Amino acid sequence: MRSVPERQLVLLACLLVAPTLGISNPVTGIQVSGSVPTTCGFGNCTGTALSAGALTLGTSTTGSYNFNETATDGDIYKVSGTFNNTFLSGTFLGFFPTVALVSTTAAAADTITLDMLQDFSFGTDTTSWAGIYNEKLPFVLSGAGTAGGQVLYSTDLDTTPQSVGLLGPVSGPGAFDLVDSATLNPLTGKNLIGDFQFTFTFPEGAPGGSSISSPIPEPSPTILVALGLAGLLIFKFCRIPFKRNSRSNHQLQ
Amino acid sequence: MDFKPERELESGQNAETQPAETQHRRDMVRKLGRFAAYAAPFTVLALNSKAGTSSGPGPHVPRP
Repeated sequence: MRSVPERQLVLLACLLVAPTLGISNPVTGIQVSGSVPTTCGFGNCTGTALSAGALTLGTSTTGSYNFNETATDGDIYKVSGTFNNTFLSGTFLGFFPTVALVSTTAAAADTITLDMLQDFSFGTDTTSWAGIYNEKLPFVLSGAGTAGGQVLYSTDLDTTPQSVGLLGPVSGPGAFDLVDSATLNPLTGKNLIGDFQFTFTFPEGAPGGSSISSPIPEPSPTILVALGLAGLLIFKFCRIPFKRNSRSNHQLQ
Repeated sequence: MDFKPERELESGQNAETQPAETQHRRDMVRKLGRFAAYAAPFTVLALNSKAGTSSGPGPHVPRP
């Protein structure tokens, strides 16, 4: 059995060796554009970094972000939320942002476009990523404004982004659930390049706190019912042996 | 007269019941673990069903 300092030394060595073996952390980028200057609000948005940090088969990445962006008219918007991207057998992108107006009132109409960038890597240039792609875009708008979005895919060789389907814009206030799917091809190449894009607009005079979001996943009623049933089953399993124990205790007394 | 103090009796009883309880707890942990393993994929699916998501078929290498 190794001592604690020895174990720490081994761990440090592993951490140092990992990048040379090509084991690196996945890279995700969230780019903001539109009425705000085009910036990378989270992670790294450069093609080189995204390609180097592409998800490989069997890996996944999750994260959260919270940053402010100032539009050219001076309006300040807060962008926050989470993402969850996986490459288990198929590819999966999950993007759950909320954009909220921080300023007291919107001085002018603003458009905020968010692009979550994620690469997937497998095999060689002969790899095909062609097939049916799905997208689900739910929107919740607290007030007036619009929301739309699409998911685009390309590869390092088939470089023209192909859309699964441009959905929206829908006008608020309200909640909307938009769905689409498309067969994309040829999508041949070593790296699949995913771009999950949302476009939100806020009208002039929108009150502070106005928000547009693609909701963060919440437990659905089905899950709650399932958990309740599971709880009852566990309770039942727990009770029987304890009853037996209490009986035996009574007998002993 | 063979008289045992109350504390000794209690510890004797615990010694008899403890292995059964430990075994029961182990069984419960095993059952909960199995339940969690089965429930996890469905939970992930259900959680993602109401959120902004996109899925693709994954890679396939053409036959030579």
